Order: sequence, then structure tokens, then C-alpha cells
Amino acid sequence: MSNVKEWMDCLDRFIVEEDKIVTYKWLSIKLKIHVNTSKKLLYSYANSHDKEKLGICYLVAGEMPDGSCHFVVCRKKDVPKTKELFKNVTSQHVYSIQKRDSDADLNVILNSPVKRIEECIEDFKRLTSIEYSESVVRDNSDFQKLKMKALLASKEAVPSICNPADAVSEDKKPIKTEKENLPSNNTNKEPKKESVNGNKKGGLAAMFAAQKEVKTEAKKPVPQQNKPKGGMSMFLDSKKETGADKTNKRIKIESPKKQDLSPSEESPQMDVDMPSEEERESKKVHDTKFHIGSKSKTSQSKRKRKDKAEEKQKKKRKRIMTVSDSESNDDDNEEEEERIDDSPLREPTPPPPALSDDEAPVVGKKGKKKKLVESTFMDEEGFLVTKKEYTLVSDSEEEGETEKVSKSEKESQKPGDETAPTAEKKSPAKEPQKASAAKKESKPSKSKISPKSKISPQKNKQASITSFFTKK
Amino acid sequence: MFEARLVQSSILKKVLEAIKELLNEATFDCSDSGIQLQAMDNSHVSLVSLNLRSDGFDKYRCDRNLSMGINLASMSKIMKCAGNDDVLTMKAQDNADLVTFMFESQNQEKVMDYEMKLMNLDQEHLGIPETDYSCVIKLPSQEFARIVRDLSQFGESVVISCTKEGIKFSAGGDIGNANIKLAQTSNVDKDEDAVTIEMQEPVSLTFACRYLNSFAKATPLSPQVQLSMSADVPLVVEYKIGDIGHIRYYLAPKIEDEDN
Repeated sequence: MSNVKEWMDCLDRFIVEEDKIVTYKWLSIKLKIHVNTSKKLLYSYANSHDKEKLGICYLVAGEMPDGSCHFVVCRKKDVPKTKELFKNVTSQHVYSIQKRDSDADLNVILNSPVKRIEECIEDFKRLTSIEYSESVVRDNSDFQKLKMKALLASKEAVPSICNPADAVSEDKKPIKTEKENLPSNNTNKEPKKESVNGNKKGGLAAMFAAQKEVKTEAKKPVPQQNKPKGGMSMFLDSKKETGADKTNKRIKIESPKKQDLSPSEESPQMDVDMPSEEERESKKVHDTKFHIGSKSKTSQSKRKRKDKAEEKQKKKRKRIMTVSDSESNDDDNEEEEERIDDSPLREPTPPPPALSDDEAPVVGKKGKKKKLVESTFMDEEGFLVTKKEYTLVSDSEEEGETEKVSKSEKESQKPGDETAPTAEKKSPAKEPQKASAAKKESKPSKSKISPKSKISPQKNKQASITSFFTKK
Repeated sequence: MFEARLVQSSILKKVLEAIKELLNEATFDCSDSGIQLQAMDNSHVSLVSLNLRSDGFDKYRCDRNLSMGINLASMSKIMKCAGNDDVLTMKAQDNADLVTFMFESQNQEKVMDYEMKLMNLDQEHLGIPETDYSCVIKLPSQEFARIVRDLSQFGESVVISCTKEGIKFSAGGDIGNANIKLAQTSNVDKDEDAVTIEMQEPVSLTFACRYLNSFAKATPLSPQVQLSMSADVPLVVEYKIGDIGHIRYYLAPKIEDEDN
């Protein structure tokens, strides 16, 4: 194919001249080629160039010793190590290529900008191998209606402080694609072996143990440059503490999701329709590590064109309405659900600030992202208040400014002290915030400086030189 | 046309050894005043600034400013080909994509020519503000290298605290804690063995050991090293390079994590 040469030229340009992190997904959308072709291109590019110089990341998938199915992104040099984690490696392919083999965080690669799903939803459908015949693209008005209904239903069930207007204003996604209960991970061509339910049976405790294990495994290949160990271990610790509380667990689980998935890998838009609470919960756990449940098998086997499914849309909607009595189902509604979960009926003690976030469109320059940060706290009258706001968080190591584009969902008595720590906690593995740069540990004082408190690497984050020196 | 002749090629050898661990490639900016290099390491935590003045060379000619993007691993390979007593001449044409290293033995009987391809590198120079540092410490460079090496066995961070009494390096980790204190030396035979502290106010900062270890690769360049510290600014580690120039490393401190 003459195209191939063209594509290779393009790829070369993206990598060498534009110095981009080229993931197969990005390339697929950019060149409008099938993801499999895109993977082949990356593979041949990696083979035909100096492997030592290029920063190549691989995605390895397979069956873990515990029977679950995992996807791990790792650097080239870590591939053998990563493979050892699996009982059975089912696939391995080039995930991304960049110009230099930097030690930068893998999260940066995972989060490397891909167009918003809505913008390229058609491309997406055309270019991937996974289809779900019953998926339906909804418009905004449909969506709001659904939300209202779900909300009203949930209000009957549990008294809640949220009102429908809030739900409507929460809606920021004009298009939604429904898919079956699987993360829309285009990368899986291999058969899925493990049922998600397999894990579920072990109860919550078993699930958590598994997740912890997974976490360390998945993180292992990532050299945590610039970050003293603190990041991940802090997460694990905090999880242990609140292990007994179901609501808290769910909230905590969500936060690693952000770090581990690229926007395209699992974006709110591609979310699941109508999972039962249990299913969803377990799904979240598995999502964090690219788990694929058994259901994906069925969806994959049904390779039908989506546009035939107009009638099914109605059906679907009905289904939503019935189940939404007990809970809502979209990502947006999930936030509401959390609010309900957190309500005093179920949980008399005030919960810690909830940590859930949705990714909003990438704003401004590369690497900066607007994130929807939600925090829940009890106000003076004893009501639980959930506050959502957009926080601008940069991806790259250098710039860590967080500007807050405040968008209050609810009136909050203490917005300042609640939201700031939330944003911090959300991104423990991210770069040090510039604001915190001001608070250096150095406290010039005549009294003896006790180094002990400062020796621990966990307490310190490495600042970047660029936050001290500006570009000429 | 650019041409620079250095009788002691070993200086450039040592310079290469001192920077190649931190940097993969760098731009050598050649101008009338000399050769400068400024580059951040990959993780953007430290910065290397090298200055070789034109008057330190035996012969120096630079008609037009020239930026040579150089792969330091390749250059290091070439420098290893030179004998320590060889005379080095660097040459490049204006707008050339090649630089030539010529090594001549002292007795002129052997002449070696190495050509190296240049690279196009993005120029990313940072402005380094003039700073009055609260503490300026001079100590033997070997001592510094030893301290950093020893402490890096204990943890990945080292706390450098400077008070009137002296300077303290501390590290802690799984195996325990380590503290090394150096007092100002009262009288020494050689200036270069002295530990001197000029201090306006006490400072204590935390740094990553691995970078300090990389900086210590410059130890052969100079018997003394100068550490400059102020609260909330990067540490400066400076090695003088004979009477030809200096190499300065800037290292961003580790800052307190607010979660804790």
C-alpha cells in the first residue's frame, strides 16, 4: 500500500519533529486508520528506528495468577518484568512511541491528549474492533430527561438535599454512548477469560485484597521519577484505614482510576449503562487496572453496526427508568448517587471529603486539564453538601499550578478549606503544586533544626527546576 | 568558522564525564566570549550550566555565534580516544552539521581527527536570577563526593543544614539515620582543604541524593566545591575549571508534601 509510506512519514513527523507522545489510539484517530493498523505502524516504526533512543511503551495483557485479566502499560525495558506478573500473556503490543526515552511518569503517557470522545465518536466507532450493537447515541435533551427521572425516583426512596436543577446543571456531556458492561477498551482482541463475578464472590474484603495486589503490580514498572515514594503508598494506607465503610471504599476506588486511565481508554462518555450496584462497584475496581469482565466477550462477538439500533434506544430508556428507582446509572448521576449514599440516613457520621472526578475537556495548552472535583462535607445545619468545581490541573511534572474555576453546585460555608485539600489528595502522584512550593521545608531558625522530621522521603516532593527559573 | 585549541584535552574529558550522566544531549553555544552550555536533565529537576571562557583556550576563534547540538554519549566516546596529554582542537564551519575534534600528541607525531555529526536540539534556556545566597559553603570536592555517596546508602534524600557552627548532612531510611557534620576549619595547610562557611542566616533544605551524586562526577575538575543555599531556591554546586571557567549545577529542593 502506498498509504503505508505516507503514514510512516506522518508518524515520523509526529514523533521526531513535533515531539509528540504518539499512542496507537491517537494515531488511529489522527490518520483515520483502524487501531490495528495503527498498532502495526507503531510496531514497524519501532523496529525500523533506533530502539535505544525512542521511548517505547508497551501494553501487555493477560491472565494473572489469580485468574483475572489485566492490562498493563510499561516501558520497553520493563516488559520482561511485567510479563512475569502474568500467568499467561495473551497479547502485547506497542502502546506509544515518543522521541526520547525519558523517565517521565507513565501517567503522562497514559493521559497524553486524545481528542474528546464526542468529537470523534464516529471515527472511534469506525476505527475500533469492538462494537456493541445496542449502543445508542443520545442527545442532550434525552439525557436531561433521564436524569430528572432518576433523580425524582431516588428522592422518593431517600430524602436528599439535591434538587433537580442541580442535576441538570451537572450535565456537561452532550453526547453519550451506551455500551454494555465493559470498559470500552479497544485494545482487547484476545478472548477474555475471567469473569468479573469470580472476584466478586470473595466479598468486598477479597476484592480489596485483589485490588491492592494489582496496584502494586501495575505500578511496579513505573519508575516514579520526581516523586519520592509517597504517592502510591499513601493511597494504599488510606484505603486500609477506611476499609470497613462501603461508601468510602467506593469513593476511594475512584480516585486511582483517574491516574491509571487515559481519557480515551475509559472516558465518562463511554460509560456503562445500567450496571447493578454490585456490578458497577466491581467494575470500578477492575477498571482501574484495565480489567475486562466476561461480558465483554458477548459484546465483542456481536459485531453489528450501531446505527441499526434506533428502536432499541427506546427499550433501553425504559430499562433505565425502572432501575433508576434505586439508583442512577450514568457517570454524572453517579455523583448524585454518592450523595445519596452519603446521606445521614445511611451514614450518621460525617464522611470524609468525597473524591470523585470527571474529566472535562482539555483546556489550554497540552498537559493542562480541567477536572471536575467533588467534595462532600457536612454544613452547619447538619446537611451533607456536595460541592463540585472545576480545577485546572496540569499533567506534566514542571507546572503544577492549580487554578480554580469555581463552579459551585451547592452553597458551601467553607469552600476554601474543603476543596483545596481535596484537590491535593486527588493527585498524590502528580507533581508538586506550585502553591506548595512556597512552603519550603527550610525554616531558618536559630534553634536546632531537627532533620529527622525531614529525612523521610515520603514527606517531601521533588520540585522542578522550572518552577524556580523561568524560560528566557 | 569556529576553532578552539586546548592544550589540556583532559579538561574537556573531565567536563564530559561531569555532565554526561545528567544529560543525554546538549547544545554548546559558542560565541566570541567562549563556550557555554545550559541544559536541564530529563526530569527537569536539575540544571547544568557550563562556562568555558575564550581566554582560557590557547587559541580561540569564533567568527559567528554557533550552536552545536551534541549527543554527549557520542562526544564522550570521542574524548575517550584522546590521550591525557594530547592537545585538542575543536573545529566547525559556520552552519555546519559536523564538528571536528583533532588530537595531537605532545611531540606532534600523532594526529587524530574525529568528526562528529551535530544534532538539531530545541534551545530551552532558562533565566537564572542573580541571588544573594544565605549560605555559601566551600569544602573539598572529594569530601563532598564522599559524603553524598555515603549518605545515599541511607535514603534517597539528604538534608543539608547550615548553621554558624557548621554544615550538617543528614539522611534517613529503612536502615537508620546518618548525620555528617563539618565544622569550619581553623587553620589548614592548603586552602583547598578548608571548609569555609559564609552565612547570613541558617538554612536547611532537602535534596535528592541521586542528583548530588551525579554532580559529584565533576570532582576531578576541581579540588574545591562551593555550595550556595538559600531558603526556597535551588542549591548551586559550583566547581571551578582551572582558570578557564566553571561548571554549576542547580538542584531544585524537595518540598514538603502538604498531605503530611
